[in-house]
Amino acid sequence: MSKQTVSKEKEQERYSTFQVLSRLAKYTFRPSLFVPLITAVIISGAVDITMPTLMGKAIDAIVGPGNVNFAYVLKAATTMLIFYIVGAGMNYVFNMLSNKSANRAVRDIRRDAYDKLSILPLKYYDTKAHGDIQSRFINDADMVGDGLVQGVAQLLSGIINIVGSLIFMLILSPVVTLAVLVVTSITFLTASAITKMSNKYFRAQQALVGRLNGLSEELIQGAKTVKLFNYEKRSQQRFDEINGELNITGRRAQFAGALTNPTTRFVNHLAYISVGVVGGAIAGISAGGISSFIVYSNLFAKPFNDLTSIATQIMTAIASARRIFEVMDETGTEEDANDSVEIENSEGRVDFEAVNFSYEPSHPLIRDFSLSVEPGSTVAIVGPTGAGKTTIVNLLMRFYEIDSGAIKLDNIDIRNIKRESLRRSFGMVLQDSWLFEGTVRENIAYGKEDASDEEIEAASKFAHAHSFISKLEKGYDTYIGEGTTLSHGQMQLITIARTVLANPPVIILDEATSAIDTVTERRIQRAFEKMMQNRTSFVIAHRLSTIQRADIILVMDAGRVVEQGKHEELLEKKGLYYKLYNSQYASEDEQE
Amino acid sequence: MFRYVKGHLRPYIKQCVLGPIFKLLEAVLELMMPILMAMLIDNGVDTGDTSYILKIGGLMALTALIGLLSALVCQYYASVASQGFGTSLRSSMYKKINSLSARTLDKFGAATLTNRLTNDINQLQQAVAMLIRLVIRAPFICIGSIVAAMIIDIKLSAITLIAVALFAVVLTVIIKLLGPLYIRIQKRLDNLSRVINENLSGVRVIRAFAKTGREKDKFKNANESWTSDAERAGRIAMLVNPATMLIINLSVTAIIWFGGIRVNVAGVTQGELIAFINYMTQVLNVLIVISNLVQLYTKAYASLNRVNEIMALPDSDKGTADAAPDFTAPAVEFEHVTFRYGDEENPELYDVSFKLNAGETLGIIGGTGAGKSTLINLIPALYTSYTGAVKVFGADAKEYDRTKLRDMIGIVPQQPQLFSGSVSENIAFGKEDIKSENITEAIACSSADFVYSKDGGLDSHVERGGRNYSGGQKQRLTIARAIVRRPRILILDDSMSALDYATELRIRRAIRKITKENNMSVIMVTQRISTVTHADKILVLDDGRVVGIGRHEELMENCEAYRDIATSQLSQQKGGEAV
Repeated sequence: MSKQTVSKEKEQERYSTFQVLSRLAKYTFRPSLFVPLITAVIISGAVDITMPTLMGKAIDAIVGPGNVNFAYVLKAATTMLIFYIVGAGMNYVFNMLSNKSANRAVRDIRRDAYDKLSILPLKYYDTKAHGDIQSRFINDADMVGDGLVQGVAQLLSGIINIVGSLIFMLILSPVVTLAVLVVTSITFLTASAITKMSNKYFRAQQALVGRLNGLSEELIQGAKTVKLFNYEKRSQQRFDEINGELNITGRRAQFAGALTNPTTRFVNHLAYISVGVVGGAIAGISAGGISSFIVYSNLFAKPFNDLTSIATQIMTAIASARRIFEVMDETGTEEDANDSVEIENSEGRVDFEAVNFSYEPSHPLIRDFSLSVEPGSTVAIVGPTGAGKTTIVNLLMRFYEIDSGAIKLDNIDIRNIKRESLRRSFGMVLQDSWLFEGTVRENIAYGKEDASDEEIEAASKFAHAHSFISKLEKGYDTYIGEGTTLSHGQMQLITIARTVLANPPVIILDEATSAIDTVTERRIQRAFEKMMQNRTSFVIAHRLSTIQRADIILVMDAGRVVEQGKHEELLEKKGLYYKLYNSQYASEDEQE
Repeated sequence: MFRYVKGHLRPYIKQCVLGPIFKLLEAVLELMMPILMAMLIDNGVDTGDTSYILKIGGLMALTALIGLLSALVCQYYASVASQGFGTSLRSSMYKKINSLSARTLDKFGAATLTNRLTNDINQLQQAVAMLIRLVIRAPFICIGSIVAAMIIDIKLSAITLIAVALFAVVLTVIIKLLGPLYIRIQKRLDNLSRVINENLSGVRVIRAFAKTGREKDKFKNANESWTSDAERAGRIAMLVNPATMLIINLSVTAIIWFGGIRVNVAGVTQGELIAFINYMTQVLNVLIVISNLVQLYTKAYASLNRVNEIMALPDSDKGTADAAPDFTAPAVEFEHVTFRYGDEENPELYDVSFKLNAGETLGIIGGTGAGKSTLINLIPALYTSYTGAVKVFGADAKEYDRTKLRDMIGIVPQQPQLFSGSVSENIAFGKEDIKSENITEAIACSSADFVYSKDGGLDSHVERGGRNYSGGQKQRLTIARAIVRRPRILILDDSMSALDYATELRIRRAIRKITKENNMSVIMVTQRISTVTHADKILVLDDGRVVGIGRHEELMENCEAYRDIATSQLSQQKGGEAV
């Protein structure tokens, strides 16, 4: 919690409100839309402001029985008819254009944030909560849109109404105008005081709603575990605790929020009354004059009444914009240097030369690591859970940059190779299989989009995925997404087929078979062995049987390479490898 | 239709009745304002009677003040009633969700249930608030204003009625047009959200296949189609404002023209004409409120249906009797059990029979999808729609009180799931009376001593779903959670897959010791032969059927499927001596 407040404060320091606004303005105000928009709002505002005077004059022309100037009333009514139609048309143009420019702004903000996201280094993805990033793209961008449409549009027409009606009121009667000004400023002060108070309660309420939603989601997702451990009662207690708090806070927030309307209505009534009283008793204006004054005072007061809600909306939009701009301004990019080279059909020679690396400077992980991998050889990386075996993969693929030393592919420093071409040289099968929403076929052809059906089938057969895929209802056209229930093992087989089809010069298997049963694994193992022939390969596994034939075995512990050598050599050493190797076959009866 | 919700509103009857009454009072007072103003103009301004103007002005101020106070009382009642209603309904819906069977939970899915519990109930809560605040007031002001207008002049009020009808038509058309568009926009937004999510979760694969460009196109398409639909909707939605304004203004224009005629023949006075215009504006303002209410209640109606659907479900997670265990009987016994999750043709389990004696260890082995996890889910009666019988300590599992049954069983599920809270709360999960030395012992037994190296030790925070712990750490904590309860039956469902062999072996040894000492029966589900070689009995499952049962040596002798698994794992070790 405290951590969050600290980072929030930092955020505040990072961009001032003005900076955020001017940056938003760049997205919002494009001349092609903005010139017609301003023209439309001025015309529709002018209609709103001039018509009440005309109406007042028309009413004054209707004095009493037998005393009605019909010629004037007709002229006034016709003018009003024409102007109101034009005004409404302009009002529509204005609303539509502001909606359009807001939507475009949201689109462009999302696009720019996405462009940034797609070049951010992996560190960003690994350290930031994904739900939070997603919510910045979706919810925050929406908030910016709403704030812009409603906030800015209302602000513009509000300013025009205030200025225009003030001028006309002054022309009609300065004294009554003064009365309106006094009353309006009271409205404004009360409304902003109420909003300030209700915002405080509202924020507290939102925090509780967030907590309650989070807890419900967690408890319902884990409902079976809740049942298995008889946790129902306690879970109900936890739920009711927050729910009860929400009741009290929600009541306060709702009441405080509901104060604004009746209170402003009350002050508006006062304005209405004071127009009648001051206008009639002191200024002595006509009945028609009072009637137009009532309209003006409403026009004048309305933006003030709404000001607090507009302000809240714009402030929310600014806060949301800040969160998106934060993504855009993340440091570190994955852009290739201009002089970096493309490599194709790599030979598969990999060299680590005195590599140093750490995720955090205070915890050095890989120190002075050197290794030469001949083309076509197999490197196995083993070690206990959490030993940092995946770090080597992160460095090879340049997901993370080494601190010093060099990693070379075909004797070229990988920092001088274009990332895309470097990564295309490696085929990777990870422990967590990742498929995107789309058909099985699309997923397999991910690395080779122009692959023919025969090629796709051949790759699937190679990966032992063909038989289960053909049993699916729609075969290769089965849609993978919500509702499809492929087992973890089946998904893994598809990812293997995907790598097979891409046919990369170097392959990396990171616990690729841990989700697959051993009988199937043994079959895939053969497929892997076929793949590994004549290819440089890196294999990470905790099932040691799969890696005994490797040319080099790296044994890692606590992030460091502690032993390296061939299977027999390592067994003779009687070190960590020996221990790991023996424990996998021991049953609990044997003594350690 | 209100069967499940009305009980939650009952405690707030007073607020629900008094709230609208106060609101009505405010409305009545508000309706008086234009009349008073008309009197002020006709009798005061036109005759220049200052004291009359002040008198009426004062009366108006008093009216406004009383109106304000009644509005506040109403708002207060509305917030008490609606929040209280929502809180009570949420609590009872959560209780209902807890009492649903696993099968029902599967059918609905966690996302839907959470959504109904939070968003839908919020919608209903808001509907209650609006019911008190506006549902009475808005039509009253609307009808009241029309009646007042009619009293002033019945002929002129035709204009009011025409305007109202016109407004209703325009609004209905716009809402009809917008409805499907909004649904589409929501879909576009969901799609955008999905694309982002795929980019976040699949970043390694995307970059590895150098597919950033393709993903960018995908995002661009999703973003563009959202924009174009949002613009299309905007073009229609933005009609509401100018159309309303136009209807109001044109009727005012009409009133002035026809009003002139009426004044000329002494049908109305000048002041009344102004009052008439005011009522006209009030009617249309209220109509805008009503149109918002219509939208709100359409949504609330849909929410109510979704809430009702859940509340109407039976409390199916309940035992059929209160059986008593006989601890000398076999711990678990399956008799010809055949089971399907839903209506699918092929059963998950087919004619499964076996017996596990108290104090013994049963290994269950088989490939992925063989039905191992399904089988153990039947023991604590998570699923009950099987044929045949599952007996626990001599009595049918269905006939136990569920709490009592599950209290005898400690399960370590395949997916290690933790809950937000502290480490010790997670270990003592569901059992309040656990001593701290038992927790220490359970941690030692499951090799979860990494918790001591955390800053808070046992009090260290566990985030939602345990996401601040690695897969292996979560597995060890869930093992501790099962052991600490000292269950009579301990079930481990392939629960060491994320652990290296050395750690697994250490844990298996510790478990063996603690289960022997406490005479626990153990079921070990696994894919690793070495885990089960020393079990008293091994059950080999293939595609939901029992294809072998016996000790390791017997199965090596006469069960082909078992031999197959064994060779795949043991062939490369120690010259294949186990083969």
